[in-house]
Amino acid sequence: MRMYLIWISFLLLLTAFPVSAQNSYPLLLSGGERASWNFTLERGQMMITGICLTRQTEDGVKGAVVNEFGIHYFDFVCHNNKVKVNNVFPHMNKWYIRRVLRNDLRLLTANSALKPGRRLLKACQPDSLSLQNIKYGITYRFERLQ
Amino acid sequence: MRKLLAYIFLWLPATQTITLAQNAVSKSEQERIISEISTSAHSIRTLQCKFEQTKELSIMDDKMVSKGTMAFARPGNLSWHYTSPYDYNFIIANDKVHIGKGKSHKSIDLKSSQTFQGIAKMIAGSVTGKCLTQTKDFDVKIRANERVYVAHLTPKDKHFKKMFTTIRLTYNRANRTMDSVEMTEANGDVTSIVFKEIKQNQPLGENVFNLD
Repeated sequence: MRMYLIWISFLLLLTAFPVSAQNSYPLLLSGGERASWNFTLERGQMMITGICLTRQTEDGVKGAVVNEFGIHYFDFVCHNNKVKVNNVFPHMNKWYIRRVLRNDLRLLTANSALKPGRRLLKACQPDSLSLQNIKYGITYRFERLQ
Repeated sequence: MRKLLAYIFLWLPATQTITLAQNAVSKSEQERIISEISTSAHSIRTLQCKFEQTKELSIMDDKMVSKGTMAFARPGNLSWHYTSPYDYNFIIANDKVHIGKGKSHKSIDLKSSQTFQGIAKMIAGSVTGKCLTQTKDFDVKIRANERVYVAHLTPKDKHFKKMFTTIRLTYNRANRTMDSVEMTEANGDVTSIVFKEIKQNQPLGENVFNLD
């Protein structure tokens, strides 16, 4: 009986302080209301660089990625933990690319769990972060512009 | 609703001003103007200037302003260097494209990349006025007033069209150099580049077209 009560107390203690199964990675939100980032996307030999501008909204974040000449790569909106990718550069505008971008950006802009083996968040600092999509070999890097 | 009213009250008068300020020219006058710009551009051996680039981002309700310097040397060497708010170099020299961002550098053979060939052709063509005569690549319409010539270029190439619906080049009538470039994307966003402190035919530094 005593052991039973101890177990019950232990279980109650655990539920009082739930261990979240999710990791919160609203990292782009750490930029504050508005932020500008040096952006790099690499996949194998291919690399694109540009600038990412983010802006906090009431219930999420929105952003745009352009290259240094101002040519638009894509923009995104995270709203209620759902991400939409819009206005994608014509050469990148394929459904499978948009899907990968959407899922990867969700990890950076929303509360979402990292699935083991699929993605790896590296170098997570307020002013720089790096996300690797292991499955497709894509690395995203963001460095805060001063 | 408020935004719509703001657009009506601010945008309509602005467009009317633009329409009144520059008048369409006849075909013969257009050919004369293009010839005038090309002849003047032909005399440019080197060009240096500062530029300010403003990118409107409709989704952000915001603008991104970048500054830098540009240098050009005939026949086609170009240095485009962003200094603020990011450090980025784009150099075309000796049939190679050199890109430098921060500590990373990359060199690409111009002949192996159609994209960069297109960019090089576009920039060099704008500076030298050659793009005004490339009628197989662009539909060209010229407007003029007392101070400027404005060339409206509509791309014909379907790939280029997906990126830009119109490119507007403004040439100063007094010295026939390019004052500004404005590129309108398919989604309506506009990138405009204004050139300042333009120096023609001045000696360029030795390392202008090197990344080092």
